[in-house]
Amino acid sequence: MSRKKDLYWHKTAQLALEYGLRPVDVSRVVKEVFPETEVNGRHIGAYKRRLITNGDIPTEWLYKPNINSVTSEAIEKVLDEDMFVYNCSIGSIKQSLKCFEYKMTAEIVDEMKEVNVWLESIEKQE
Amino acid sequence: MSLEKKMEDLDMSMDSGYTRVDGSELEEGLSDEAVEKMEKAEVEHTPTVMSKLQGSVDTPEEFKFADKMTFYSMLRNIYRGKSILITGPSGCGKSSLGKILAGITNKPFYAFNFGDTMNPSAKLLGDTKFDKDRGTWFKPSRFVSALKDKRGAFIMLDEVTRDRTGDLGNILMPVLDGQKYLALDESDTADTVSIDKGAFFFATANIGREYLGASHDLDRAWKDRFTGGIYELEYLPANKELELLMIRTPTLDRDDGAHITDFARRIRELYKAEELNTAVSTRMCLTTAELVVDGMTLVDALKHVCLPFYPIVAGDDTERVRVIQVIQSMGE
Repeated sequence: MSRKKDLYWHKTAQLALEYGLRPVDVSRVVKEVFPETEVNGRHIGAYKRRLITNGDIPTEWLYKPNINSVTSEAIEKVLDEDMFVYNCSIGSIKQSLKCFEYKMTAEIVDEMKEVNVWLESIEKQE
Repeated sequence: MSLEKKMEDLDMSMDSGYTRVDGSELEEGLSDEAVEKMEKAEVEHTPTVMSKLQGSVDTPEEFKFADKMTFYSMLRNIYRGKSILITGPSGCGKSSLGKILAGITNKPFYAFNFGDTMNPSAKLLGDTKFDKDRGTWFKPSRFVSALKDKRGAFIMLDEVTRDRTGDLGNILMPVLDGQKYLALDESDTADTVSIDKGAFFFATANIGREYLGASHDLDRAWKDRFTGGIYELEYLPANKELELLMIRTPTLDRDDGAHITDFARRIRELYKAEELNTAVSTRMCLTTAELVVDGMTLVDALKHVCLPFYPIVAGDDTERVRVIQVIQSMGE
């Protein structure tokens, strides 16, 4: 039996969706809170459908929301826990990239050229 | 089984917090509404740190030490500030794990090796210095700076079992006990250093008969201080060790890599059978791989790296002879 994933941006996105912001605007709010996130409007749209199906957010709103005030509130209310998970998420990607970078540079460097330069410098000293 | 009984069992399993993996048996004989209710009950749950970590954080390429749950529980302990102790044989990747975790959590990394100190109090607390203008003054240690770091330091206490005096442990015990400050001397009016609430302690220890003598184990008092748990790290399985060799030495011939890991596996089996007093570490495998890449033959590289770990004694049935036999079988 599948269980829906819990992600660090869900709480922030839900807050913005409860105010009636469009997914594309919610993704802007999420990016303000988690600057390096790769979450986009499509992810938010899918999450919105899940929340509506579960009856967790209304489908009609009386007032037009203000994106700036929602962003301020989202930044203020973000959980330490979500920020930690976000940092780990980015850190993990960077850690993998470092690993690939190591592979790439190790392949590119012409080691024999370096060894020849080193040998020449020894010969000169002699 | 009656319907009521099935529903009761379901309620109990939900209350206990366990996630049911296969509900097909229970679903038999239930109405559509009941099944729908069950599915909704199983899908709805309260997000937790662990569930968010599992959903959001991918295991990095270089994390080849254990299963994924171990990885997520380590991250959870870092978040909760619960100190963890990693035990395992030398060279199995304990310190590398610390560096990787610090990198993932984006915490400032401070490492303190317990094997390289002559003056424990100077290492952990600080030392007095003299200056002709200022007179005698106290210079706090790097450890004190780590405790005070406002970004919440990742503090690695490496090889805690190498502190034979016990002094380093005695100074550290109150800090690991959850005390929020460190006293700089033993007087009632001692200056204290406040420990940042984000500071996290990650300790490593070599466990095994060749490191701890007859007891083979670590002091109970030490173990009690690591509320995040003790993780027992083993050497990597051969396939993961080979992956690691290929990552670190990309120009290594894959067959040579496979021979190195196979050699390590065979030596470790002899060690487990207590026929050898020490095993071949991942670090030794990496060193061998580097030598092979630089042009040494596989057999020579294995001999060069591994033989010094096995004593020269007279006789045909010595540890060294056994290792040489395994090495020579690699060359055939």
